[in-house]
Amino acid sequence: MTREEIWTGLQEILDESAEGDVDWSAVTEATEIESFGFDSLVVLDLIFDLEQKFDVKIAPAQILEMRTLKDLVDFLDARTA
Amino acid sequence: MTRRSEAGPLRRFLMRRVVPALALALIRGLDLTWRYRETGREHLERALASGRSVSGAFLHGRIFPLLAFMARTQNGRWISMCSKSLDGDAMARIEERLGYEVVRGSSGRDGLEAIVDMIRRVRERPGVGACLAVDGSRGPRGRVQGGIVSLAQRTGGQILPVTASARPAAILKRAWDRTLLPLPFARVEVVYGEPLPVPPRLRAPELARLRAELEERLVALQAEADRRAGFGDSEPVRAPL
Repeated sequence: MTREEIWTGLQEILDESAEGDVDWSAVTEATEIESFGFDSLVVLDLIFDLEQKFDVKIAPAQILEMRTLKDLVDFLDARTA
Repeated sequence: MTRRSEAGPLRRFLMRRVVPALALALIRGLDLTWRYRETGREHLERALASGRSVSGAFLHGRIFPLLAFMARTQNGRWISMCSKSLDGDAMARIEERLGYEVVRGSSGRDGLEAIVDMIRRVRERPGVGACLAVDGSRGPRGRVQGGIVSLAQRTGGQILPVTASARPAAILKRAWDRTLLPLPFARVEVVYGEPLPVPPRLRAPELARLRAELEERLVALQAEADRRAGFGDSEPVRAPL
């Protein structure tokens, strides 16, 4: 899976998880995950959505330690390579 | 609640070895004297027969009359959650000996880890349900937290509310959850509510609505169980906010 495919898949997941519409023109890999306003229950959704879409298991601690979307893309890139 | 790091070796030994053994003997002994009566058992049976896993929801204060009863094989197989505190160590050992599979965690990051663990275990083993003290592990009493809805969303999509009351019984008045302890030879009333369907995807307002609905159902169910048992607590089910 390419980084572009990961990014597209991530957009689909975050569109579902985030409250309200996400303005993707303003979002880059440097965007902080926190800016999506996730609480622990949304993190839980994210974990299982990522598991389903990318077939990767992520521990909550791993997600909570990630700061930006780049950290998440790097993680998925390494796991789906 | 005692954090593990604060406890001395003697207290750790007592809580991990002595207390669970004594409490287990006490619960099993009391269970032999209690006479159970069930109301709404058809809800449990229908949920178990649905082929989808069940998320059992109860209030923390009523754990003792439910503990031994729900471990009986005809009542399903359950994964439960105990906190990572020293008290949780003791409780986890008791529950494991009774036949529950236990995941550890309660709130914050630990709680999130435990819910994820619970969901993965339930998904791997069809037919096993997961049960949660929905206002636990530290309350406020009677106030349902969101974990149960997320659990049901990601597993079988159904929450089964259940509670119990008993007479004669004592209330631990200093405990945050007003723990109910049925006395020897008590009549224990176990009451199941109609399962609450939970869709796989929920926006925050829908999740809040479901959580509130479950809370209302549990409060009503506990009132019904108390009425059937002829037991009355001087404090409301829900702690004032």
